[in-house]
Amino acid sequence: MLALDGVVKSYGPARVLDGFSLEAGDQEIVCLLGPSGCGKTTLLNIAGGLLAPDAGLVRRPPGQPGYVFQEPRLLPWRTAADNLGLGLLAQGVPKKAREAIVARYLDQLGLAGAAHLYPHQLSGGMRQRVALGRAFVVQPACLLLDEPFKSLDIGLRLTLVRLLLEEWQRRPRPVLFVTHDTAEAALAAHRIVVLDGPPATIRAEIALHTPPCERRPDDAEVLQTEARLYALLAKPLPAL
Amino acid sequence: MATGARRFCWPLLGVLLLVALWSLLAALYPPILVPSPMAVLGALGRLAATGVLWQALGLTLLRLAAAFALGSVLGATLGLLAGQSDALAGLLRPGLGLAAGAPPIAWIALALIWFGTGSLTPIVVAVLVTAPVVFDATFQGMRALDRDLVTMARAFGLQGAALVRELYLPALAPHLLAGLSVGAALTVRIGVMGEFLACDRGVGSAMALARTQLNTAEVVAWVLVALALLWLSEGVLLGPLARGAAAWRQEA
Repeated sequence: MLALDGVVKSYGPARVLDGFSLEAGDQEIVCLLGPSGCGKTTLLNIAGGLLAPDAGLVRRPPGQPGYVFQEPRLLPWRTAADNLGLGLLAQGVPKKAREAIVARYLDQLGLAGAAHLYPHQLSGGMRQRVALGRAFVVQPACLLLDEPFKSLDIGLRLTLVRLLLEEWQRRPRPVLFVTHDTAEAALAAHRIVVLDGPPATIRAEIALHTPPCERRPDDAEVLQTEARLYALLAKPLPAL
Repeated sequence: MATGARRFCWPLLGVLLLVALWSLLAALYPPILVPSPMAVLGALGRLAATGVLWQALGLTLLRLAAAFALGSVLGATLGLLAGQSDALAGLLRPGLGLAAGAPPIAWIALALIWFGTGSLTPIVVAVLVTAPVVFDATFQGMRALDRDLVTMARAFGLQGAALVRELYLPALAPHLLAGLSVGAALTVRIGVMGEFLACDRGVGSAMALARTQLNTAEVVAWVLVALALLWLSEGVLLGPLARGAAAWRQEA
């Protein structure tokens, strides 16, 4: 289980988290939606241990967390394969073993032909696939995703959500998935948490019943959930 | 092939132009003021044949290599540390400003008093001038470092030597190499000047000796030797390093 309990965090005078609590079960994908600047990234960084809370408790399954950031954040001077295997290198996995694992993930993510290319030679979608693979390959105890598909077109986004779900099904684990995209959330989440803030507060929670891997974009539950999210998130506009 | 020819064509023409200008001046003035290119080559040949050249060159090469190694390691290390701590950067800035800003001749005067004549004086002075340049370049590189990449590396548990090899070194390489290139040129220029004023052996002191003997052709011959040292540092050391560091960019 991945849990934040009464977490407090301020940047100077600005309190971003004020006694915030949230948990993701051992096999639960929790999507976080909410306006920009409401504290989602901060709470993700605290959940993953990149940032220390001023107060409160963080419980994380033992082991390395896997991160996917908004931008791919690949090392420009390393090939796709080396970038994908970075976490294994950090863990001291020997070269031969590393290469074998990396080759498997390159294959699963449809990157087999791109192994020896540098990031500047890859398309945006391929770069984010490498970033996904870099998080998967360390067998992370939990996954923390910070709007990872934000800058991709809708087709690529759905493909990458699919890849994420496939990986999750192979090895279920707690996932915190920050997104602005209602379709992404409705497709991937067991539970959707709608936030407001700062400081971050939970405005609404929606639990979905169909297992994520069996959902299709045009399922009734997915469409209903999207509509509910839209109603929650969209600001009423004046009539034209 | 054509681009390669074009790359060398203009600099070669530039050299020929210089030699022509030099020959013209040599024709106008007596050899004691401006020796002809042939006279200089002759002097160089004699120095090489008698072995004087190789002895002086060997010693100077050792001194300059020591000064360059010390200056770059010192500058790069301090730059790496200062890039991570604003307090340390502030603390170091005045000292390094003093080292870089004071006229090199002042350092030579002081070093002569402190260390006397010998290898230590040109080495210390060259280090004092080289280290701040390499420091600045490294520090700028640290400032330009992509914080998001650092966060990413930390998130994936990269640390120690692996962190330096995978992230810091490649990210700093362009800055560091630019600093090293300027530093190498300074080391040669200031090191040879230190020898000229403070030593009784080496390229600089041989130049000083030739001057006292009014052997102008030999003075210019030693200038060519100092230039060759500079080409050596660029061609053998820094050029290949820069090409290696930039290899990933070339992949189209």
